[in-house]
Amino acid sequence: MLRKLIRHEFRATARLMPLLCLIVIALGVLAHFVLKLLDLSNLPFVVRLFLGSVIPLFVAALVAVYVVAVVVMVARFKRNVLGDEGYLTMTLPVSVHSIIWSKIIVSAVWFIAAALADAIAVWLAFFMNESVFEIIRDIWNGLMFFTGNNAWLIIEALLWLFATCFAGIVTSCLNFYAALSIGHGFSRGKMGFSVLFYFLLNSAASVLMTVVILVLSQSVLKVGVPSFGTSFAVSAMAEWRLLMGTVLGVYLVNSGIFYLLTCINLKKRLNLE
Amino acid sequence: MATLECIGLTKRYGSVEALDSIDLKVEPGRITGLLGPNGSGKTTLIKLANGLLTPTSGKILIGGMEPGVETKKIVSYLPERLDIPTWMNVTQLLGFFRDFYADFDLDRARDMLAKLSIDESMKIKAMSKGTREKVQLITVMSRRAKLYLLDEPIGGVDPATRDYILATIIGNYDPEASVVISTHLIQDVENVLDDVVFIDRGRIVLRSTVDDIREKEGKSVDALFREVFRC
Repeated sequence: MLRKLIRHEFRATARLMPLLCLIVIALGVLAHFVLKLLDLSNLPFVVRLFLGSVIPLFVAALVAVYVVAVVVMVARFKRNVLGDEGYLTMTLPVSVHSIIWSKIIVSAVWFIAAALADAIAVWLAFFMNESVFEIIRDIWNGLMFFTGNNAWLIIEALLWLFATCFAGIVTSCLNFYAALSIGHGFSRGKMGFSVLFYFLLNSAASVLMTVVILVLSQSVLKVGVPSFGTSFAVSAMAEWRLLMGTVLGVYLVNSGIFYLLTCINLKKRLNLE
Repeated sequence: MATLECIGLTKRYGSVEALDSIDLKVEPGRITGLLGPNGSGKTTLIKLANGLLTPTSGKILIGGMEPGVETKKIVSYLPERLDIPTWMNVTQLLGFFRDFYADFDLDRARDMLAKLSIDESMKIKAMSKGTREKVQLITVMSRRAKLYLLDEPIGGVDPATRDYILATIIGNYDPEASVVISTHLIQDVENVLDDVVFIDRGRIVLRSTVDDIREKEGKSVDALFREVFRC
């Protein structure tokens, strides 16, 4: 059933996000040509001004794709679970867990798609003349120098980073879901309470993260002055592992709490009008 | 075994008692009218049966089970609001129901749509309110469910549509299934009902078969309702 829920969730959200990603990528191409034209010195001031306005538009689009992804995620949960469609969604023969997971998975995919679209657009705008493979190779070579040619360390470090980022996305989604499900349990001022609980939950989660990182940085993390090579890379990796592992752990704790709050409110305090 | 059974069912919203210790049984093959004025607790009872609310105390059982994933497989629910996603077209909506309900009869749905000349490629949001309600009813009545819970199915529609809705309910439910129709429009539904339950301020004030009311009271259900709920 989870697979079916995910399929329908994609259908419901796919009308906007792919289009927006394509627009961002197209703006990346446009920005590339605008930047080339701006290099020409014989352009009139008015034309330069007009062309120059494309760049802020491009930057705004890079941000907008994330904003829209968040709006789609929130609006979809509100309408499909807590709004009129909730009468259908919450009476489907599926568990509350499946409903929540389908929304988390699809939202995470759209956030990743937004990140990829932004990365492609930035590359198109600023680095299109250089081969993307050359850029990646240069970064890789730099990392290999830093780690004393230990490729596994680089791969492990990147895996930790991706896992932590993914956990951060899931936590963000669940922060919204928990706040909306608590807020909509009230008979009046549902959205007001949702916003209030979003900030309360978010603040609590941020405080926990800050305290843990502070404690960690005071007691354990002590990478000294870089003396690049295998031994430095190994000790830096140990600390990276500890840092990312801790951040990941805090995200998991926060996610668990948000998930539990969402489940309890959808099961016990569902308040469809 | 009763299709729907309430045992001392109570639901409070804060200090407001929406249902007060309700005891009720709906037997298979019966069409029961849950009748009462606005705010009497009809919708709360139906939401509890669908697992959309949890009881404050007491129990509600569907086929002997508490509301959950298993009971949702055998209950077909028509809420008082339009719950179908308006961005879908009819074909997508039928696919959605077929995906989630093993008892969904696609041929029956297509047959009903064809009789009403509803184009399957049409988007729900492009339809009139009446057509949307008909499509919603078709999806609900195209399931071969054990229990149909219909909350105000004829509220806010014109008389011709009311006739269509009632004919659809009568013509499509399995004789072994139970139907609960919640409404305050008694005159329109009383001819299709086997049993009636009068509910007022969260309490059952009368429970009877329609035949008994006509024979013993010498009145129509509508006349009795007006007498019981006279302001």
